[in-house]
Amino acid sequence: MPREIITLQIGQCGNQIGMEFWKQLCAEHGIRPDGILEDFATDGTDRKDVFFYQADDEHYIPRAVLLDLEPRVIDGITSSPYANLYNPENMYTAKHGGGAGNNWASGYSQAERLHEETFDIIDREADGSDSLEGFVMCHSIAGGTGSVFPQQEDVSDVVVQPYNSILTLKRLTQNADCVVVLDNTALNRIAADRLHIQNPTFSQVNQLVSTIMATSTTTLRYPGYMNNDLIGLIASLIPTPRLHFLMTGYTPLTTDQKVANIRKTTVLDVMRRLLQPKNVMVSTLRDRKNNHCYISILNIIQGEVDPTQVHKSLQRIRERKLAEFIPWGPASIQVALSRKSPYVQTAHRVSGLMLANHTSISTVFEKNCRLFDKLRKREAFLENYKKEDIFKENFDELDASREVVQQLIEEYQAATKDGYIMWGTQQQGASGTDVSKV
Amino acid sequence: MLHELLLALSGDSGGVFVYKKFAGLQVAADLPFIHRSEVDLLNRICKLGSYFQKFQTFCRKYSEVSPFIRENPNDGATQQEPFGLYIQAFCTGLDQVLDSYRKSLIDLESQILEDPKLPLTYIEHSLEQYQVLFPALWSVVEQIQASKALGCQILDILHQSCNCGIPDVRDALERILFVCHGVMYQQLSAWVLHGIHIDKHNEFFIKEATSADDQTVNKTDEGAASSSSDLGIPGITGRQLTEILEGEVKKQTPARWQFRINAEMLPSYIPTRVADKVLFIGESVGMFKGSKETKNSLYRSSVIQDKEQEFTRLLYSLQQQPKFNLMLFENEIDKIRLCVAEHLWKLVVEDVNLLKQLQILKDFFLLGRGELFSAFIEHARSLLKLPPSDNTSHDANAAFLQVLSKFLPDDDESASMFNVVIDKEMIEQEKKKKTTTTDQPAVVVSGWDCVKLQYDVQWPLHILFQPTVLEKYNNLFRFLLKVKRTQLDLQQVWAAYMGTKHLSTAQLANMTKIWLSRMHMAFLVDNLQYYLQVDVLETQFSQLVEKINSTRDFESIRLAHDHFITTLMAQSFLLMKPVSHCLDEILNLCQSFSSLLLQTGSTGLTQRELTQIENITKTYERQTVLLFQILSSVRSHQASPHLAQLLLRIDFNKHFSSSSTTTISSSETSASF
Repeated sequence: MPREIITLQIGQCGNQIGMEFWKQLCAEHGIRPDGILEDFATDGTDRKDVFFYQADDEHYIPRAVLLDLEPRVIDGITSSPYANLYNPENMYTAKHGGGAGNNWASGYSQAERLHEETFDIIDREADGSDSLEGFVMCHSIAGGTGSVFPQQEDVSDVVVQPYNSILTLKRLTQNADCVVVLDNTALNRIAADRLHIQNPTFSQVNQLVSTIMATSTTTLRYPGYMNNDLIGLIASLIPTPRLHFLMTGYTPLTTDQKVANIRKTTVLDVMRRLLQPKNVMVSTLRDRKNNHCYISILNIIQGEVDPTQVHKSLQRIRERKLAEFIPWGPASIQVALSRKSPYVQTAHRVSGLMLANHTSISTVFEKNCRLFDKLRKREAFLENYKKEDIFKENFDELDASREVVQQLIEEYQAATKDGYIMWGTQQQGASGTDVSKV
Repeated sequence: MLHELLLALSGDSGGVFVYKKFAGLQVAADLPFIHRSEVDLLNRICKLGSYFQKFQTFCRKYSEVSPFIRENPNDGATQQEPFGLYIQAFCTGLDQVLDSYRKSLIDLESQILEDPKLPLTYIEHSLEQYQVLFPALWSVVEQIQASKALGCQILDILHQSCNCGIPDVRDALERILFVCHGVMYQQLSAWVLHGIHIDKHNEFFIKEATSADDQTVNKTDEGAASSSSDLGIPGITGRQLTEILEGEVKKQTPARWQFRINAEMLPSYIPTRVADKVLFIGESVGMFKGSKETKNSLYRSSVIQDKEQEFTRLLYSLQQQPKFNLMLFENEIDKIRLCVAEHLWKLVVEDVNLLKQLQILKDFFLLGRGELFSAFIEHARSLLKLPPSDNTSHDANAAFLQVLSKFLPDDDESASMFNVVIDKEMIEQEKKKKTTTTDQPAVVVSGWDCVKLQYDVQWPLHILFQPTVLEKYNNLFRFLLKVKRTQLDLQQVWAAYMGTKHLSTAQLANMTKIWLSRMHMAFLVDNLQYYLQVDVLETQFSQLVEKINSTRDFESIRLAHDHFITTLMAQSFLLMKPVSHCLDEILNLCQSFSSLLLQTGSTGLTQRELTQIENITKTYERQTVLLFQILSSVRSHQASPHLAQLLLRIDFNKHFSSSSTTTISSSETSASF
């Protein structure tokens, strides 16, 4: 019962990130691009079976499902050295291959038609696991086909991105258990500032993302004393069902070229750097009205760590008030110590990943809403949406999604204040439903 | 006439002195030629004769070299009498003491021959010393006979009697004791130098743990447990069934505890700690002997051989000491011990790889392999929630093995070392504890309260992992498992209620408080676990490893390990009653909170359930405030820095310290809302 996790890679962005992710996992577990275990990795104590399963001929196959409406990226994968890694039955491209044209509505209605075929694949994959822990879905929220990866407008080349984002955010709010938000602005900024790459390529940026994904799952892949399952990992971060959008930070960063100069790294250094906004992979905006704060933090520290150092670091961070927490409940920096892959050599003794639930994520949504409102007021670029069934009659779905996102923003803002304990009860009186009497 | 007296003094009766049943040798009555005052005097002298006679019969009875010759079926009575090496030695010693008496008699005789007119008072005077000695000796003999003393018990009696103020008596008894000690030293050197246990008559203070001992243990065990084990299947009882089912497992663990200290035989002047050392040396030497046959590593067999001569000499010189000197004795024993201990260090750390074993122990008892026990908890949750029955032990172990087989590779050796069992004694203990602490009439002891890991201790490591140590490990195991179980429960609630996120804000609103309560609980439990695993376990373990790597003495490893386990117990608050009780209560509250929420599912809670949850939350808040107060007050004593670590974790954003009073009031206002 290895608590399997199935990865769904959807759309251009999802598949590109996914590919980098599997490259990283293969390197960490000593699996060759063709799925055969390297000789040096045969007696490892890692748990490959969380993300891989073994075929009859012993080679490892990722528990991944690759979906796209256009063949470009998936074709790229099948012509790469990793072509034989994936289960070919799990790669699905729509037959007409036309894509969704960055139109959320087009993607939505195509998905309805392809629903049966794609769910067959996912069902089969799920049936193949012993005790399925969950799904990890990689996608952008701006495009048409997939959508965890919001692209901000200064990078985005898609004009209808605000529509797509709001529509996707509604689904993520209501259906996902946990969303890790990364954006290209922040990633490019980090590549430039931290790695000193002025014009980072897609694969360099995606490498950053795959590092985050791989590190956040280390406690699942290397047996340790805690955080051995996905739920345990995220449940401590998410206090209430809606507040499940997480930010990440990673330090120290290196890429292939190893441009980053190596500094001395101690646990305190790592934990302190993780709290610096410049290392966070989401670009949040300044918000003067609200006193934004951390709801929860989980630091996954990898490498040779003396456990007593963790305690000292916590003390220092608290003394210097480096992190501000919610006023309405207990909160602290949780630390999970994890092993490192023995097969990947890094220059740093200690490295760390931060998963944090911070109320300032609401500014990201707010910005999206402002852009959305601008377009919506003018009813701009809506012709293509109107062609699809869901928007044939009216644009209610757009407005409903906007409303959901607005509530999410308000909830996050409420969470900055002491009164969050009473969240929702005020509205109850206003809306006049009799739920309050139950 | 004087010769008659001499004869009587050497124990033989004659015409003048006759043997009387109770008084012993006495002057025959109504002899006209002896004056009354003379009779008294003669009788007094003759007492010695009767004692001497008794001593001789005693010696004849016990000093035979082979007592087995006498053993014929129609001689049942004598079998009851004590016999053995020590009593023989006692007789030899007694004989030596009596030698001087015999010599005095011979001297007297020659004097009598020279001067037939020797007055009686002269004889009395020259034998006066024996008037004191003989009764004292006889009382010792009687004591031995009365208590049917055997082996080293004789040493004890002698040693106690030595403690008297009359120099003659003391000297004599010390002589005897010296002879008896000779036997002990012989046995001791065979044991200490060669690991051979020569003790035909069970006289030595170390004895082989025979199967008879195990049986008696089993019998009492059976007696306690056999009640109501009738399964209703004709011809088979529940006990028999479990025996059949567990039979395989039991056979796999043969008794390795071959020797133990025989407390009955341990003389009171040798402290148990010294006896323990002796036991340890002998066992270790014996182990080397045994291992020589199976493994042919050269340096292993040469442990004592190098120093055998030296040690033999040491023991011999000890034996020659006229008086037993505990300090010297312990000193020498310590020397031998040290040599053996160093060798054992090599064996344990280098050959058996102690560090790896400790890692395995940590992985299992201290939940180092978290994923394994998460799976086990999930697997056995419904089974162990119930009060344990006769089959629970077997079923739980089956679940455990299933989990192991899925997680560990087939060739993993640690898998075969562990078994999960239900500790029957624990059931009783828990019942008692619960009845005293709560006043509820119905006491439910769940399987979780008495689950226990059985660890198959490998050959030389049993010196380190003794049953009491493993019991401590098990205490920790149960506590850690409970924390983990609570954590998983709260996570289940989270997963079950995450499905409600698509509901409207208004619909979610009345759940916010429950969500936040869950968050508080999870926060505390998570941080408790982080504290236990990182601040306590990891830190202590790395210290232990460091210590093991830095020493070459087995003794300090044992000390370090003992220190390790004790520190774990202390820092996990298991030794601190108020805190552990408070934590236990909190964990229980979290569990009932979770089970209540999981029972109803996310379909909506009734008013009754809401009030129940409210009550749980309130009690929980009270308990956490209490916990926080206890911890803060204890911290100020500065005696326990680990408390500060836990406090830092749970009060990181000063939520507890700033609002430990307001939490209650705010929860009350929100309740009334």
